[in-house]
Amino acid sequence: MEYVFHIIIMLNIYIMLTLSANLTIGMANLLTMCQAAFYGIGAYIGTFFLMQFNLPFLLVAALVMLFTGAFSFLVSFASVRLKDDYFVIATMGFQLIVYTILYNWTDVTRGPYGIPGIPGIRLFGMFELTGVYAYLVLSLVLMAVVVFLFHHLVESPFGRVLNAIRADEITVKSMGRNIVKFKSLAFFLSAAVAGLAGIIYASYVSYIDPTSFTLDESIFILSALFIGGIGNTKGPVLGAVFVVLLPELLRFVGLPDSVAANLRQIIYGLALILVMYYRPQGLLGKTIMK
Amino acid sequence: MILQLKDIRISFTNAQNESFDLLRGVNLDVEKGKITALVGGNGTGKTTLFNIISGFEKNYTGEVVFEGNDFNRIPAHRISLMGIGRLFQDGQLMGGLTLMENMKLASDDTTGEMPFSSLLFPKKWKKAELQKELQVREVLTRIFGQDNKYLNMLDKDASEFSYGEQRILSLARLLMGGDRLLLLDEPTSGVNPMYIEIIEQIIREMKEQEGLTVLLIEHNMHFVRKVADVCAYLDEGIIAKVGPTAEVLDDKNVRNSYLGL
Amino acid sequence: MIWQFVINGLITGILYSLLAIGFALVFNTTKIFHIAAAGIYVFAAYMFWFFVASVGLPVIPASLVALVLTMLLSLLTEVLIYRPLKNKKASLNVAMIASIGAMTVIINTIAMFFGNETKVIDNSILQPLTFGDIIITSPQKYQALIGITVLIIFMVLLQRTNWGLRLRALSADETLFETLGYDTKKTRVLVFLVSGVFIALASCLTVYDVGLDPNMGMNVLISAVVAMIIGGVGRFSTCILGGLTLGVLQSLTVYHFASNWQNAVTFLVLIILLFLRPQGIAGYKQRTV
Repeated sequence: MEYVFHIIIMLNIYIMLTLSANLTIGMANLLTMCQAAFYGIGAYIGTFFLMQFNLPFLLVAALVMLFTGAFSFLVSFASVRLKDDYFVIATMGFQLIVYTILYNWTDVTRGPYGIPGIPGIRLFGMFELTGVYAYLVLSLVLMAVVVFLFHHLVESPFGRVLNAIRADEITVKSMGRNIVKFKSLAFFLSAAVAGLAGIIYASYVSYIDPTSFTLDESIFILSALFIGGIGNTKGPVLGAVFVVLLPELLRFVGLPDSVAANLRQIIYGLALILVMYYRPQGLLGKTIMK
Repeated sequence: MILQLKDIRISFTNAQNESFDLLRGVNLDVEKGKITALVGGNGTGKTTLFNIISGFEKNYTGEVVFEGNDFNRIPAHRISLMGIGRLFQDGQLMGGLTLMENMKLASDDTTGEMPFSSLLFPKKWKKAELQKELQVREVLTRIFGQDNKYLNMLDKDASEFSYGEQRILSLARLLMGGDRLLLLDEPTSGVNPMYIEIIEQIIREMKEQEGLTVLLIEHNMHFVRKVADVCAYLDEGIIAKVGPTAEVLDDKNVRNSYLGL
Repeated sequence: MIWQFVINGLITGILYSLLAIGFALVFNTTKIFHIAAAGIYVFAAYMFWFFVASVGLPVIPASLVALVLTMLLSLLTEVLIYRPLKNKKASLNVAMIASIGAMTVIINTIAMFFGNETKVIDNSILQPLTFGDIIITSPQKYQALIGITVLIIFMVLLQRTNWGLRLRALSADETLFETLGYDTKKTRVLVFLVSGVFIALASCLTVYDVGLDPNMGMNVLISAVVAMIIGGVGRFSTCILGGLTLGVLQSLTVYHFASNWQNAVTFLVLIILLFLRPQGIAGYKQRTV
């Protein structure tokens, strides 16, 4: 049973990640390749707060979201100045710089050795969460909250403005909307939720190292998002379900681990190509990348 | 005078790294409540002038004064809220959004557009949305008459409308923002004759019923003659001639240099 | 000592230039952000290694076989992925995402067959050249000689032949290109074949020196793309300028700091450059209407 719970917890984390990526990529057509950087920043900052101070979870989560969100301003600043492919490459650059820092700034991050023994989360400063059950409940609740809030965002006037930015940025500007403000808000919320996923992950597995937050991981999140679909809520959720459950299905088939890891990547890649050809909005998505 | 342009200058660098002066001191007074046409050859800087007025182009010298306010250094979105609306060249509705959403976005009222604000203040937000919906219906009725077909198509995706329809609906959309000056960049280009007539009517109504001032770029001289009260001819980076439309278009020099007659 | 690093940097720069041109050939003409090039690069390396280490061919025939196979794979990405998407009028971002898919498929197929560990190609029998303090290893000698020769030939062909003219015309404006009666489809076939040549050359010359693993592609490709951008997008000669600049810059980063900060410095420079001069070193500022 613990095995099933583990999968559900990871699924919840990936639902948050794909939903957070959807806000910028799916709604505002801002193709970023650095979601894993925010995921990692959240994990490391959260670890720092958990290990240095004995703070209640809600406070840690709020701090993590705030700090991770603050890092998003670097990306939103780039989005103002850089268009299309230049923006994509700049976000890749941000991803690689964050990874390089996590890997090389050994005094703080312990670099490749990683940080072991991350304590569990304290709810309201009282009892510490341990074991798979506690994280199951916590991640389910947070996932539900994130799904609710992001669904609301997509449907709200805020989502309408992001959608309009995707369609025709200049016209939206000529209608009196501050594009920079809206993009920055989208990046902030996106990064904050990715950071939240990061702290849940770090505290749940109690060990982090930089290899969980690479460009490949960003591309992985991106693949999940595009397979599931962009522009609404159910698309990203389905994408997360697909990429988290597929390896488990392959395990049932009984493939050796060495082959299975590569095979599932091949399946993701093929799925991505086929989806882009037959259904560019994704399996359950609403909008198509411009 | 609703809009005054004083000594507007701008230069660009071309592919050979040579600098050239596109606008070399444009002076123009746009009269309130009139339709002014801006004519001139391709690449003379008409659209650039629009970009300067609406704040999309900032690297210029000179002064843009709108209703007594100096526009230098005000960002584009603020200028729009101050009362200037713009239809872009090939301007269409925003696809992926419904006609209703297109119209609502054009409103100056931004209630509920901050993240979660519609969740925190649902009453205020619902009231604003309702108000906008009423305004949309009212604007469409004013432009296209009682019981027009667009009132039943509000939930249709904008990209499903024909090009000509999108153009006239984009013009109608401009009336949502409570603007006083409208900049129309080639409203008739690529539109079939049936819609050109509707566009002509709409622009007339903008002036006569709504009391708006219109500044438009147009290459269709027939159209200019019919709608414009005043015509300004842009040539060699300056306004070479300005005056009543017929007078400018029949001017010997204008006919020679622009119309090639 | 510093001159050794400059020389190393220049030679690495030649390799970046080759890959940057391989990428730019596709990017300039189709406007697709050709991420699959990372997979094609890895494929070339493994074919080279396979024909040397497993089949036992000498280095030069093995690299030629790898080159031809790489050209075919490059063409396959066009025929199987980009062309069908173009026919469906898919956006460039959609093509790029499909390209990411293609990269994932290629790299993991290779890893599945050949394993994830690093492999090397034996180059130990050859003597290095020495000029005073400066040492040029034998693989570096080949990299420099072959690289420079190919780059010169390419630049001459580009300027002097009808083929080069077509390539430059397609880079400038596809609609105009078709209006003038040229066939975009055929030219694109050529583009992908030549792109394959450059990717294969960059790959074989690099892995002959430093070895290969399935995950090396993305990092090298990113450096090449950065080289293309700092040189100035839209032309081909600028790739060489950008490649050499980046090569020396990275090498000096190693000299002053350490090799593991290379990526961070590369991107810091790129980002600063993008903000100060988005058109690149040799590009120009255009009027946008």
